[in-house]
Amino acid sequence: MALLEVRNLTKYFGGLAAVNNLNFEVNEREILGLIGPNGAGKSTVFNLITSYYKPSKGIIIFNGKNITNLKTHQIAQLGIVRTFQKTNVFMDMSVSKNINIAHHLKCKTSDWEKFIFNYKARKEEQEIIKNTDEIMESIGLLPYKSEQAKNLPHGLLRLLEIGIALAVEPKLILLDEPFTGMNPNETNKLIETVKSIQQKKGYTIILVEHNMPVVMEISDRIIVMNFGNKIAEERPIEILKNQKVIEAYIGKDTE
Amino acid sequence: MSSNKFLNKDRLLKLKDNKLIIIIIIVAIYFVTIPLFFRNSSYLLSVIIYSSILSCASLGVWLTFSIGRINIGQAAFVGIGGYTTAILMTKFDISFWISFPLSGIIAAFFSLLLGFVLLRLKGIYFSMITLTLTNLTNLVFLNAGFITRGANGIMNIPRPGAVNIGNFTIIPSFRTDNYYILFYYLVSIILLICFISIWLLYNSRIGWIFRALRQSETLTQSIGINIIKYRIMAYTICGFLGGISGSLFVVYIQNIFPESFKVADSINYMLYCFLGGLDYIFGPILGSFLLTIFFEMLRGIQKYQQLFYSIILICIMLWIPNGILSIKLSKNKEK
Amino acid sequence: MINQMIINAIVLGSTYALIALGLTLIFGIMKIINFAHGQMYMLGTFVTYYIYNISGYNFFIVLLCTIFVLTFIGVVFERYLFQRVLIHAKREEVAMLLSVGTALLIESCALIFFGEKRRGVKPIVEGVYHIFNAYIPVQRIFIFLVSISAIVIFLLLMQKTRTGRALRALAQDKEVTYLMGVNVNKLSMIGYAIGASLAGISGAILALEYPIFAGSGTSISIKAFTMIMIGGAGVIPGAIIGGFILGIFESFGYGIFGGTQTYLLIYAFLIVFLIFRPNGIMGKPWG
Repeated sequence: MALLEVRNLTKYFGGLAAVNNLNFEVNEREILGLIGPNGAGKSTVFNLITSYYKPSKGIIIFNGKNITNLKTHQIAQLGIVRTFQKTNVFMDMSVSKNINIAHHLKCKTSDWEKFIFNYKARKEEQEIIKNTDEIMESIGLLPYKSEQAKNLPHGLLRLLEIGIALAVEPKLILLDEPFTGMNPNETNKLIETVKSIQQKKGYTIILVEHNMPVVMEISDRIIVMNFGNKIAEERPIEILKNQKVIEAYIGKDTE
Repeated sequence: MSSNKFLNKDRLLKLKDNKLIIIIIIVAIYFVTIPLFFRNSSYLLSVIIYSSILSCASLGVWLTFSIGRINIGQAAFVGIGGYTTAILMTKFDISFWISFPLSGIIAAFFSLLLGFVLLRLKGIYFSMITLTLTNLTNLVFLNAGFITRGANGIMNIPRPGAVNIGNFTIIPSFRTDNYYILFYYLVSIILLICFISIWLLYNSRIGWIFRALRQSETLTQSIGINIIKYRIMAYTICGFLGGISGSLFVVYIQNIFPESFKVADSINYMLYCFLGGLDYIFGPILGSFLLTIFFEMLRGIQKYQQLFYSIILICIMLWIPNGILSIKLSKNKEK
Repeated sequence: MINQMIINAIVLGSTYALIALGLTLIFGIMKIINFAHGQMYMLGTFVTYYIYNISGYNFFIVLLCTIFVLTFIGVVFERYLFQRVLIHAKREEVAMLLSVGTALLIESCALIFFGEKRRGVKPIVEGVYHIFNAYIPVQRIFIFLVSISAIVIFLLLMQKTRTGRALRALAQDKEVTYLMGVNVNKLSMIGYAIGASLAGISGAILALEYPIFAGSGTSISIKAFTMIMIGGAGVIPGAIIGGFILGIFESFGYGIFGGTQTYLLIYAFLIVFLIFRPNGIMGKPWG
């Protein structure tokens, strides 16, 4: 059974279909690349899966459960986390605090216990701080742990976003153009990180990205979208030869 | 061993031991010296009493600021709390000591209900509707004559009575001549409790969720936090604080009218938070005290009071927009 | 009876729409709510009182003076207060509280200069028409015509002139407008002045029918906010719709229920309405 199933997913904005009858599956431990020209509807798909938008038609099934009508935080509880196209972190907090807060779903204490900060809450906080350090270490942010997020350069912010997602310990991570604006050094580092979280932690990943070499290198499978439709679904090597894909990006050859 | 130090409550809340001692000393001084030196100056005591009650209401508004909302409707809940106490004490002869918490609870109940609707509104829509909320409650109090006596208001509200267990007097009666001192202790203790509670809340994980809400609601949602629940939590606590301030006001001034707490008051509570500093829990308290004392000093020029008020407001926004507490070098940041 | 209320509603609605347009313009450009909008309206009423009532100049002069006064105030506030604050403030709430401060400033100055006395103005035109089974004072027709003309002129200004187009661009995207070489600061001043003038003109107009006093600003501000909440903030059609709807509610409300209960019902309706349309009828979500 696939981890995530998207069936007949459609979203209209006014008269325009941003996503049109989309069908695909993601299997566990897979890295699925989602590519397509600008405006193809890729980020909309993420917004639909995580309930920031409500679909006009179609359903989304995660782990056998229909999550189409659930709220965003409930979907996170079930195990789907996303990053955002435009960098989205808690700017006025330190790096470690950003990741610390993201441990919310791992807390077993009630709100009242958190308030009075009893022994159980203190022990839990101890655990979370330890885990936060581990996550920062694994993605290379440990030297910046006390730095305010707003002071970080773009590349590190993108890493922080992933750190936040890791803290939730989801089953499925949706990465929305994480490589945007990164220099080659940062890009390589992030490629390593993404690969390692798939291998070591067994996460499943859907990656929306414009950086073609990266997508080719990381993805196990690639889906190509254009104007809201899926136009191809193959392994990376095959994609480059797909006529429709070439047309979508470069345009039809008019003789 | 490093793991043990985390079990020390204070360390984890980032408060160093000697700083805590200093604060305790200051609080103790406040509670001892003021009554000692000013027990006969009812005027000064009344200023302090008034400021303390305002501080409670403003603390509530501060909490809604902390989740990133501009709440211009606190006077509505102060009014609800006030009328609750007034009605319970005059119509049903219920003791203040029961009416007081009930006022908070009922005000909290209404903010809970309203919160579901109002908090869905974003940004300025939320602020505008909270503004009309105060007007709404004024009109409700005016028109619900059968309970609130409408425009006549409720007068001669008795002061708190004594609390006795057997022959033991736990709390003396306020219906004597030295009620100022008693009120002073009452409101100061309540303010202290409120402040400590908010402080604990804001420095707990819940407080960090509030900060997260202010900085990015979308991100907060996506990491699995139920933003509706926590928004409503903040707003309900704000309503509770409004309710208990209303109760204290009403039993101090001993009357209430539909317009006792209006839009201008809602704006004032906001202003106190701003003046003190929105980043500091002590901000609203500092702001309330400073402005109240300042306006007492201006009492002679009644006619120009509002003018000065507006000029001060504008000057604050121009020159210390982040509040007084942000001026001193932040080593005492309560972030 | 119903006809009477309908006519009143249309007349009142037209002037209310003018108020709402001013507020929505300022919000669209500066992204802050002009708390002083009601106070600016109030200043307009006093211009009518002094220039028309006492000096007897015709109403056209009154309107010109109103525009002059409010433009001056608008420019000064925008340039010396708002622009400064919008640069220095760490949090966006500061601009809003500054707006509150300006409202209090205007009102307290007015209270000092004009006192608390309520004043009135002698009618500009005498006579009453009896049409459709309703009594329409000629003055009310005058009010309606002036309001509608002002609205039309404003709409033409926004659609056809370069300034108007620039203002609409500014409301949509400040950065892009700046990058296109527009002097955003100057434009903001113009926009704020226009918005303020609209408030003042509505005041000048309604002064013909309603009492003139220094404290009249607050309730007008709240009405203006209500109109915006109903119609939608930052969108011109929304302001017009909101203005007319409030005019209708108020006329029918006063006709059927009388004084204090009318607004009680309006506020209650507003809260319920916002459950279903949190951004008003035509508004976009502002975060």
